[in-house]
Amino acid sequence: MLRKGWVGIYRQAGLWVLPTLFFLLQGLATAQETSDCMECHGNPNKVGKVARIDHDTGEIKVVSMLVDEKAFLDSAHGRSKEKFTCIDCHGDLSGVYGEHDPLLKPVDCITFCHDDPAAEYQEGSHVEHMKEKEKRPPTCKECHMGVNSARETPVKDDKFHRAYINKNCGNCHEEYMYTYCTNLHGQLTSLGECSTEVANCSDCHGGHEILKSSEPDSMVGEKKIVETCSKCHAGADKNFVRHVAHPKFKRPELYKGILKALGERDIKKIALDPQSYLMLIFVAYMGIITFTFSSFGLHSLLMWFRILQEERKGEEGHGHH
Amino acid sequence: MATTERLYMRFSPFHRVVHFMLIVSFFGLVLTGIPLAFQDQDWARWLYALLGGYPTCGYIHRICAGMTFFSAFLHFAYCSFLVLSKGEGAKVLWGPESILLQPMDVKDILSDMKWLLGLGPRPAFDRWIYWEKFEYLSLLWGTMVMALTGFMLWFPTTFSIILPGWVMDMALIAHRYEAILAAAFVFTIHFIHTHLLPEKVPVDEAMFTGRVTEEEFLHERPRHYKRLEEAKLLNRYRVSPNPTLSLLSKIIAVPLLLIGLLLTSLMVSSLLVNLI
Repeated sequence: MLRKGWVGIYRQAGLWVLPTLFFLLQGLATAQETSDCMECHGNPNKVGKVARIDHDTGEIKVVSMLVDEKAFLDSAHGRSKEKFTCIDCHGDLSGVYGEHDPLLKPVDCITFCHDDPAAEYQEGSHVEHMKEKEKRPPTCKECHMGVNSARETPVKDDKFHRAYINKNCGNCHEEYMYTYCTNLHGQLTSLGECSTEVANCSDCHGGHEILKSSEPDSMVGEKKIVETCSKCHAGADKNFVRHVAHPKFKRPELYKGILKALGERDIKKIALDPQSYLMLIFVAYMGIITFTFSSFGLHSLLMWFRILQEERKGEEGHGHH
Repeated sequence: MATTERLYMRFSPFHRVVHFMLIVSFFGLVLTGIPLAFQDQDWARWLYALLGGYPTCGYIHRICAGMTFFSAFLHFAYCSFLVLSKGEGAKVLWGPESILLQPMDVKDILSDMKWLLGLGPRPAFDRWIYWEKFEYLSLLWGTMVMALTGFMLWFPTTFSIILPGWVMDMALIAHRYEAILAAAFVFTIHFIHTHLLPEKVPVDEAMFTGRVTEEEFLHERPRHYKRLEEAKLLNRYRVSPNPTLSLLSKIIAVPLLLIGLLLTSLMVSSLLVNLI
């Protein structure tokens, strides 16, 4: 009887109690829906703006704790079939209801979900180069996050996202941004065209694995550049890819370099660099423009002045009758 | 007064129609193209978006380029016809009727310099004044440069069959600065020489109505007038006034002049801001 009773208890425990407890605990976590969070984070009376120190940059920002649910649902995570909820990323809030610790752990994008591009990214020469120079490489968020809402993770082809990417690269690579805008791709981007129709930084240089052009495996390196250009320009060949994507004719470095090469009598170096020819045509046009406007401008002004003078004098015949 | 004044035909309907086509296509080209050269300026971004942005502006640009080519084709067809017909028309290549540079122009330039500096009387010009010849020749040159470089930028993969890719980058630079040169030249020098002189302002209607008054004719091109008078051809050029065309030309030309001047001032100010 007694023994039977214990077996019964074990049985009960094995069959019902433990699974129920397990289920309840699990249930607590999984049942926590986005709507639970939105009860407060969707209500401007309950949450407001707070100051936050950025984990990565150390910047102090004033951030709104209000969540735009629609923006989230339009974003890559919101659109996903997996139906992500808030706690999927903010794991430290799993099972926490009501008021919570205001300082959450930084979101870990890599460990459980995005380990694949992350490894590629962290081993790529871009990050390596930055570490060598003792600079902090950008985190996932810094490239993949929208500007309007800190919770937006726009999809790759999104215009807004692409505009943000260009700006972001330009923040560090100022010189390349400037020379890119000297060329047709950059001119259009700068005028606000950010669709996939016009190449931006990462269309040519890659995203997670960015290699120097001198490395053959780079998207703009010897082996792959024809393929890279062909993505948009059907029929691009070895000749076509000799295009100068970053013309430097408006940069003083180019002129300094040419003067230096001239000083070293290294004419070959100048002659082999297409930048020299771009510079020549630019300088020639500056000359033509200056000459044209100074001569014709002076002519027009003098003519204007002389006609006024003659009109004032009231001359009748203007000397030719 | 205007009714009793004698009018002479200076530009045939053919010239006027082709010139009008050039105006329309030139403005289309400049308005959709210049924003690209000033991509870092807010006014350029605004203008580009206003005209439809990418790729609409590109389509407008190509259609207008086609119109310019068509005007050029009409012009050369007309010139070839005149030259081949061997009558009076063969004189378009040489002599006082020709718009190409002549030895006489050297003398004209020198005497005009004297006049400009206040050292001599206003020179008597013939049918085409030397600066008009320069403007015509630079239009020819500019159209050729723009057409060639424009096609290179339109079909880069085709041109790269024989040329290295950086030649297309040179084409872009030439296209850009030739465009700035042409736009600023037309909107300042051409406008001043023809429309904005104290005696003409706001608009010289000759290119729109085709008509000049006897007084204007004698004042501007006395040598041409005398040549026609001596050959007893003057009466062949007499025409009656056309007030409708005259009004139309003012309605169309004045806004275009203002747009051109505004665009030039924006370009110049952007250039100065970038220099500082």
